[in-house]
Amino acid sequence: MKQDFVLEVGCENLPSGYISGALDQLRMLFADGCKAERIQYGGLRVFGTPNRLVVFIEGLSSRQRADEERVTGPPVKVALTENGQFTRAAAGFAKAQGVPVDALRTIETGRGAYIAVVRRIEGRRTSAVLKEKIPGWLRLIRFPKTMRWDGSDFRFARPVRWILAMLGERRLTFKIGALSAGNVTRLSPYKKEYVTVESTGHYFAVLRKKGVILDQEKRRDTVRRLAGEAARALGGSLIEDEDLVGSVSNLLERPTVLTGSFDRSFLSLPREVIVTALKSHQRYFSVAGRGGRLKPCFIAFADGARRNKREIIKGYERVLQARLADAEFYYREDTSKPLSVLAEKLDGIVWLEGLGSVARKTGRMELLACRFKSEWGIGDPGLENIIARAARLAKADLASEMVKDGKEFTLLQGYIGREYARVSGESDEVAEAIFEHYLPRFAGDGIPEGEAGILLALADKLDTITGCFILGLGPTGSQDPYALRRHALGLLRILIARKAGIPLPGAIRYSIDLFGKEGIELPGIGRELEKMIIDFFRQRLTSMLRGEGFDYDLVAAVLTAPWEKPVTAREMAAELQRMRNDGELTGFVLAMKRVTNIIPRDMKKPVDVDAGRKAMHAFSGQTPEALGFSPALFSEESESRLFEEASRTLGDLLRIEENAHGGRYLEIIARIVPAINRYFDEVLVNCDDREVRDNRHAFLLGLHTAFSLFLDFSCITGE
Amino acid sequence: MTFQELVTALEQFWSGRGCLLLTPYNSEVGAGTMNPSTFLRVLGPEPWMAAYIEPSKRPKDGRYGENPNRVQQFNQYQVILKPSPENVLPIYIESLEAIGIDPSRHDIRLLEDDWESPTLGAAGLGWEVWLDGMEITQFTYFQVAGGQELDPVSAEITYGLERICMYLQGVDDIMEIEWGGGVKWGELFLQAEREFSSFHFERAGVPFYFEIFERYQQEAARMLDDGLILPAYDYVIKCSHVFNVLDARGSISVSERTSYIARIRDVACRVAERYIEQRKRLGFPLLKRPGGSRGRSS
Repeated sequence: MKQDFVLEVGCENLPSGYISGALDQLRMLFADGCKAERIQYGGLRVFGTPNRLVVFIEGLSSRQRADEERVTGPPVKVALTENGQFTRAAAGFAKAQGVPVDALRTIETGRGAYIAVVRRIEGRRTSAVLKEKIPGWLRLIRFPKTMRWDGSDFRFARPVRWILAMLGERRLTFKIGALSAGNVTRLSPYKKEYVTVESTGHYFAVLRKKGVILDQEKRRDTVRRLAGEAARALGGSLIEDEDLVGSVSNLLERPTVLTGSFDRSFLSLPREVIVTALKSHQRYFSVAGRGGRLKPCFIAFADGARRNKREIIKGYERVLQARLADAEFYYREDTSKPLSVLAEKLDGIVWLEGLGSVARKTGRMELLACRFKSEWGIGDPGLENIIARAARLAKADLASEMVKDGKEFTLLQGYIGREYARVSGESDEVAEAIFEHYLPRFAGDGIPEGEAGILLALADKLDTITGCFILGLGPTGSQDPYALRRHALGLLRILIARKAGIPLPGAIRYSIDLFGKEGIELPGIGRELEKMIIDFFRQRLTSMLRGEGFDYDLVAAVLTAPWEKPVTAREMAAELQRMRNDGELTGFVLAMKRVTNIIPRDMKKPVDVDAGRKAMHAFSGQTPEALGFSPALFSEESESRLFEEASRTLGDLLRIEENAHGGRYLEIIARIVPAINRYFDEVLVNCDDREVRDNRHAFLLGLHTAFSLFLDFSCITGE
Repeated sequence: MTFQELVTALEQFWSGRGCLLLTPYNSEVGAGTMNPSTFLRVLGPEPWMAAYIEPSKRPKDGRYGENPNRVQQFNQYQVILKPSPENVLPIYIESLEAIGIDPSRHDIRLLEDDWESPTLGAAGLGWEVWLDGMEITQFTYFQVAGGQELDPVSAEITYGLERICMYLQGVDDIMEIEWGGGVKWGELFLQAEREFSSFHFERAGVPFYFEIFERYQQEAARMLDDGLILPAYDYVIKCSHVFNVLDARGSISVSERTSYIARIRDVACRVAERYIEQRKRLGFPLLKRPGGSRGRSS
């Protein structure tokens, strides 16, 4: 027989952010638990509101599936005599297992035939198993924070006040902590009244009748739809915000939409200040009118239909009025003096304990940004003045009434800086750069457009990363309290999207030096810190390029070589991928690997930038003695030909313009392929004449060393 | 409902629920939680049910009486229920009915608020209670106080009296609240708001305040050494207020802040530890009463 099962964990309001996570865990605990307990079912669903977490299992079988238990005994050759009689060993095993000898079976195992006892295990009643198991499963649910509320040791995110557990029309009784499960639910944790439920079907009917939308997705959809309709009824359109839809729908069980308005005079505040005031505490939606301008209205949600909407709305409006009045007060205070006055306070604001003030940070940002500018080779001379001004003001809003002290408007840092810069009469470029230097703030956020914004965004992020590494605050495992991965990804995204050919290692070294010059003690010895930061960027770039769909081995080939510019690295990975997709990669890689593979293992060294550079210059300058070989010992024409070709190719690579496309490097390198192939067709490298052989090895090692600067061909698989 | 009628209604309600009606503390506190009737009584196993009004002094919130919602001294109604009863939430909702708020006609909502007091080494989980979008109460299940894990857990209900009164009287400015007999809040306290705002923000003697902070802290430590736990706690409260004044005065930098708070917390934690020992030595007297601390049975 099959029956439906429902479990309701009735809670005092759970934090809205906890509900989805708890439901995922419940689904998994019940699915895994039923599997482990051999309980079959048709379907399993979970629902949740702030006041109830619900598991619903359809078509649960009334008993566990029967099972077999096998206990393996001695091997057949020990247990049976030649004429098939059980031996003493077999009898002993049967006795130990408490069965008669003739109950023994022969089973085949991977190691041969064995004697075994096979027992059938009858399924227990599902209700009995669930009663026993559910308390343990519920105790396994994890929350970011848990609490105690009664004398028991049962911890949960908020007090659990009732548990309903029913199998068909039967209630399942069990205890967890101080609670006993039963067949009663509450419509609200605010009320003492209970409703007795007759069956699983009746449970859902009771809640539906009272307007509770159990399914969190359905509640989301309802909130979204009602908000949209309400905005249209106000003659505008909803400013969509999925975050807000999510948090609103997890704060109530029965969404009821209400609309209200605020004083038109507040519309003179910056738009995001208004939207934030509505959203962050009050969780109201904003409405846009024609031309995208805000309307002095809001959309809010109450829990359940209420008789006196007017009075409730009046309450909403009064609170909002106070919040907007606060914002207006901050705005008036802040804009009564120029932004540069606020910037002077940054001296007194600690950035990170041990790394000095925010003012120091902006000083380093300016220097870093100017270095980036000259390395990138952009901008007219006036750009440096804009950078200097924008850097000085970039963090000034942290000292403003609006942003400081972690209130709702703190989220608007950068935006407030830009608004205040405009009011203070700063140029558009400076104002934009102040806003843009925080970009991208999250995955999918925009990246800076203006030159000063781009440079300061790069500088701010690198300075933060370097600073945190100096303090030993680099990310470990899932811990990344300073969001350095996000900062690194943001920096790489900007470099790549803006095609800024800036070498990272030099920038990192410079950034470390800036801290050093301020007298901040640097950890580690020599270039250890620098290497840690470069490795960190390599990991971020690897995962970013992998995320773009480039093959792992191609990304590794590019990033195991001593890459410097993320832009070029990405272009090379993209070009390698194109070559592979178009079938051009095999010939290229095979030729290069022929060079690498023939060099004796003990001669090869890890990739080294200085050695690579030296090799490049030796070829292009035709000074082979620097690499320990002599063309005079070449015997075949194809040897001299490859030497000539290598001189030309490596010379071209040296002369290539600073910001050449990564694909161009590969194109030049590929030119040498025919000469390599001809060389190997005609030359026996490992010949008997030792002097000639050593000369050839030195020549090929030089080639390998030089090309390894660009790609580590050994990483590429399958070619 | 006037302000004083509101207070009377709450007193009546909670005394009917078995709470002792106590008095505010005689020294400046930022919240009713600091009153020993809460901070010390939630420690240890003894039951405790108490309710009292508490003038809460928050120097930083002063606005010279010019902001309709913010003042440097307002009133809380503090209820502490130990152990927290199973139906504490429905009882709280009933208390709203007792002060004329019909829950079926309003949007009453509980919003997650994990309360923490770094100065007291105390933390709890709970909510802000919203009445039609306005926060009127802090509701907290105390988990830790003075660094001590609490068992049993207390429920703390803190009503913001001015907020509630503004709502009940339909006024938009705190100064317009009718306290009683036709007298307005502003008539009673506007001058105090002006003077204390000026004092906290502009005039308080910084070297003097730094000095008494040190002296108070030393006194607390000395009393602890002498086994005088309650006087020691008195000086913890004083330190906390002196710190708040210095903070409002803008004399404590961000980096110093943490260390000042840690210094107060250290003493508070030692007080908590010693208080439990003291009660234990006394045999946890309130455990022996049949109704615990109850003044009347509920």
